[in-house]
Amino acid sequence: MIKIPALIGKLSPRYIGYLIFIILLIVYPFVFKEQYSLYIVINFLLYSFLGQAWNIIGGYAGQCALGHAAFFGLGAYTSSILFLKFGINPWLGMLMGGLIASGVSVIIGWPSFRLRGAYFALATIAFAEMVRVLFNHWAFVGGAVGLHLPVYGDSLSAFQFRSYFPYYWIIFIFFVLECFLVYKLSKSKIGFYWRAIKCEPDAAESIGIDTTKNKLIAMFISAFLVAIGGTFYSQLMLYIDPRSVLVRDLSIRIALVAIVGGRGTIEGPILGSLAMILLSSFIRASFGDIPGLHLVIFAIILVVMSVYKPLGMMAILGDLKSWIERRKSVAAA
Amino acid sequence: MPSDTALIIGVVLSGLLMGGVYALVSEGLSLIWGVMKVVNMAHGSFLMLGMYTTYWIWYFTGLDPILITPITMGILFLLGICVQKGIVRHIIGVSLVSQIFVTFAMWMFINNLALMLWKENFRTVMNPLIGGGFSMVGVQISLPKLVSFGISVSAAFALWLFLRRTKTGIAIRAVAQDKKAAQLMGIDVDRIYNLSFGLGLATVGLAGSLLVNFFSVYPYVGDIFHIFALTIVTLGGFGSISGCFIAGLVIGIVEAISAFINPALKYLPVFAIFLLILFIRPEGLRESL
Repeated sequence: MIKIPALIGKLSPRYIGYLIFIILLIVYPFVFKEQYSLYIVINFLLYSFLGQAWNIIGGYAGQCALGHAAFFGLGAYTSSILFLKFGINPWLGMLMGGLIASGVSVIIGWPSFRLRGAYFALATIAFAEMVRVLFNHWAFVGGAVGLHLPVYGDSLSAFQFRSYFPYYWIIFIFFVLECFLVYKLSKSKIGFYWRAIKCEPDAAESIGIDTTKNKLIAMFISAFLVAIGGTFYSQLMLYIDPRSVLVRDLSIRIALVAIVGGRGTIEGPILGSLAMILLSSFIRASFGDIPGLHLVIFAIILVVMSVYKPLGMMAILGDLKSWIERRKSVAAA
Repeated sequence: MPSDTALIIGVVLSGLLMGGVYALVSEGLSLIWGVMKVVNMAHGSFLMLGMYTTYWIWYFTGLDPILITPITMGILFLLGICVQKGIVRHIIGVSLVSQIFVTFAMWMFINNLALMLWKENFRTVMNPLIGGGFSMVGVQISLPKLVSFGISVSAAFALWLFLRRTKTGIAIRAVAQDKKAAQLMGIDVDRIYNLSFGLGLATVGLAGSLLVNFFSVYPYVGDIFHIFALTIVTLGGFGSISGCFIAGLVIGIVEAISAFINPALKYLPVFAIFLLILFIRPEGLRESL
């Protein structure tokens, strides 16, 4: 028989933290049953999911991709169009949307990855804007009016429910699986390739790492996951239009959660997403629904953070940890 | 009834005139980029602020926008120095992601502040001094666009002259080319940075002030101009004022012609040119100041 206290004793504080976090997420929907409380945490999980997907290309591989709204939109639109026009199951549509987004990401990534620095970021922004303009005027996908998904009530196969409860579990499972995947990737050979490319692209190339190929793999996985997030969003809202799923704001927000939290770490996007959701709910609760206010405050935090702590909240936690250790060693001496 | 040729000449001319304003917006971006090596993602927002500044001064005093232009330029110049001293100074030479996200945060801040303060309404200046248009051999020409073009060209020329002929201008170019060497020659680099950012915003303030004469103001008005400016700066070569000017005219004409063919997709060719230039010549067509 496994002795649980002994097992916990062997775990590092970091793993205990993970465990508590997951248990909290599992217990939460049973304690807070109101739809609004569920909705807030669904939002938190969705942004963690998207931020974590961006983290693969932006954090681990260090490429400042700023057009992820295009992949999100492609995911949302593909599954919705397939369902509306061809009656294809949204779950299948989700996978196809992921594959289409990944395919497009490779087509756009292959020429873009020759670009260094700001030029890569600019190319991804231009690409996302192109996709937005195209969808905005493409009558087949509803143009600027957008698409309404028909309501079926509770149906797992149609990927829609009347209550937020099942959505909560779906995004929770997606999120946990994704974090596990990213964790595994970061510990694998390719994860080390990515970090090498991020820090010293020329040195990585010279020791025989195919930088373009490895960046493309990162982009492929990242785009696939973001597209899945897009399908989840369209099934949650049952309505999409270019203004909500293809705008530059969204691309920025996706990258933002990872950057504020700490890019290139597993916990970063989760912390960043938590900060963003807490902040926006807090501001809504205390100042009412003034459009844009929470983004104004978030922008100020972002500026201060980027200037003083460019590696995000994880860097602050790291400072805190070393400060505690210093205090301990001082106390011991 | 204008003939087909006159119609097409009108379209191209209108694009050319608009291109002058695009060039002016881009020159500010190019200057900041060339001197400080910072990609200003908030440039379109500063354009929007310039437009609002002129609009509100017109609204409360009734002065004509064209007379307010120098005031807007002055305000934007001072704002530029404040932003440079308060924020941008800290991100020169740091990692690219931080740079991009600080300027993106500025974009978010300014746009959402505008949204909060002034709501999503479209605002237009009524009966500006330079309004309407005239017809020449069947070609329709809009007067405010023509005047804006004239002022834009003069401003671009003045800026070019300033950078070539004055001591301060040469110092700015020296810092752009080699910061360390410039510093060793006794140039106060911080002052040059302040000045460049201020000048960059002053040009965008001028552009905004001119645009108000024939363009509605709303919180997101700058975003599309920003993409255009990025395209123009890429096309014209980073930091090159003359390249910027020519690229601005080209993009203006491209937009006008594609709008004539299909108004819904008028931005697509511009984005396509942007991507194409990036892929063919990632270092820009010309990199010099």
